[in-house]
Amino acid sequence: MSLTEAYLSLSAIMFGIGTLGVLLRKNTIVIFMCIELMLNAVNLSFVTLSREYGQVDGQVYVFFVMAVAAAEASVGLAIIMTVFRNFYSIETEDVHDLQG
Amino acid sequence: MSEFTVFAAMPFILLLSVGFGMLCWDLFFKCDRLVWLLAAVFGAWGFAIPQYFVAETTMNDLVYLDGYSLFFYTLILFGTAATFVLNHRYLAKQNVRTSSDIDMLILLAACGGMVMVSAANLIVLFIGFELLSVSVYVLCGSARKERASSEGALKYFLFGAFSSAFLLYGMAMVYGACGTLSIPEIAESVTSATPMLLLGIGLLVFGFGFKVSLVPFHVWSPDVYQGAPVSITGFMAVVVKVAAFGSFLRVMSVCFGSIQADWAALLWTISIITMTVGNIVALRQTSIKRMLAYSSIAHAGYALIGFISMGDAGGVEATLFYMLSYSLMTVASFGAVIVVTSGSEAQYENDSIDSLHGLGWSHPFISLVLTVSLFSLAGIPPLAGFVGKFYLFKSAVTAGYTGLAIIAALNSVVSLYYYLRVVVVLYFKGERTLDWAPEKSIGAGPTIALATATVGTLAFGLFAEYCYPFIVVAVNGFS
Repeated sequence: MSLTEAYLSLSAIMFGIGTLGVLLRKNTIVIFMCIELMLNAVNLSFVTLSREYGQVDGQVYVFFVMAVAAAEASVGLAIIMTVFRNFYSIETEDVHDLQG
Repeated sequence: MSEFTVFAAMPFILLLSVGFGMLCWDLFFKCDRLVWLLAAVFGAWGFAIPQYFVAETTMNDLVYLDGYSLFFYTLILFGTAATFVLNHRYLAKQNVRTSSDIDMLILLAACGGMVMVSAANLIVLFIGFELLSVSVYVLCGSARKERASSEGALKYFLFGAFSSAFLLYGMAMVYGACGTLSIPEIAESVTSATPMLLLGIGLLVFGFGFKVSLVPFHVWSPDVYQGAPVSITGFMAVVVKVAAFGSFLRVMSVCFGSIQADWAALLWTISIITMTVGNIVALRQTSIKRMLAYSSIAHAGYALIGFISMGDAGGVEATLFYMLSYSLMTVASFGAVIVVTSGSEAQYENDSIDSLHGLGWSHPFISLVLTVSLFSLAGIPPLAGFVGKFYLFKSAVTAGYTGLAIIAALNSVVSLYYYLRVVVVLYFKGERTLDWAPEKSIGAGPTIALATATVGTLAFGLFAEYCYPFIVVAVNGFS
């Protein structure tokens, strides 16, 4: 297994762990951390592929992704705050008024 | 080329500068913001009009200037203008923040949508996607004191961030397979379907599927549509969906059109599941917002037909026309719902279909708008919804997917039931007995917005053959 393949596999495993975390965990903050893990797994793929192709493009994309993830984190935590104010909980099983 | 670059950026610059200006507006001014917001929206559209006559990429090949972008700009900006007009009147009556930051977020979301549909590089597309999404997460939760609103925002945020991770992973796989993320260069390098490329396409479909709420990625959308303030729901149903479809269609047709045979089966399956599940679940909804949410899921399924029949059969053009008719009738239907529910103090409790009863006689204009838009959504001739479906089904038959066209036609028959049920409630359930009712006079702005959407629904149905050539020209520019 070449180094590129090894890193791509690592990234896929991290992405899978993140996905499983989103699907299985109940605490919204932990779910959100798993989403961040998925984004970072993608970043690892970009950097690996960038090195494989000998381009700088992939590494530049990572900066965009990191900036976007930071913006998303600030908005997400604010939303979790408003949910806590209304529901006094951030567990997904407590936040389910809407259904039908 | 170089002098055109600044010009090409003007729509974005205008929206962003007015948007950020709105942040400080409340500090300095007390006068009405609406005129300035509409000026920004129409100004942005005006600056984009010359794009109809060119077809090229600009800004270091990051942005397309073509009729295709202009077409989607038009729909996005029309939806944004209608949202401003309706929001303006509606927010004042509800338990929702009315300060100018809401306007800023709407402008930023519109700008993000425009970046998405004109992006010539997948990472630019991703930036636009996130600008749109993050703004709409906040808009969704803008009724901070309402439990439903914050719950909707949380669900939208979690599912949205989850799906954008998949979208991004898809882009990474495409980058791995093609060595570039520039859409024209991907189009050149894609000749055969390698496993990595197919994985990338699958993940991209996953990511976009969440945004346009295709089944099985739709679970968030009814809750979010119901939980968000209703004018924001209208914005999501029109602008977010149209922008996501515009970029999805561009990516699939330009980048991966040459290996369409390898992914057509996937979208064929998703299309059928989406329209069937959307229509069948819509049958048993009692909340009008949830009913319209499932109806918009079903419509995403119809619009997907054009992806399967693209090429000589004219699927791309048919999808564009369908997006046009979809946004007109959705603005009209959600606009009517916004006006109706704003008569009630407790908008979040009073969104059931039964609460519309008797309005047909006491509020003829709103009821007429709602009736026409629902007939159009159901696909009754001669309205735009019918013509849109006709073009889509025709392209499917031409491309050899007769079964798909038949299933879609059967689905439209099923959908008649739940659309007509609303019309029956409006006109044939006797006098109104509820103690609240919408206002008699809804003001000039909402009247104009609703009338434009309704007349447009009728006009694009009757005169479709005159506007279809413009869409064909718009599409010819790209690819």
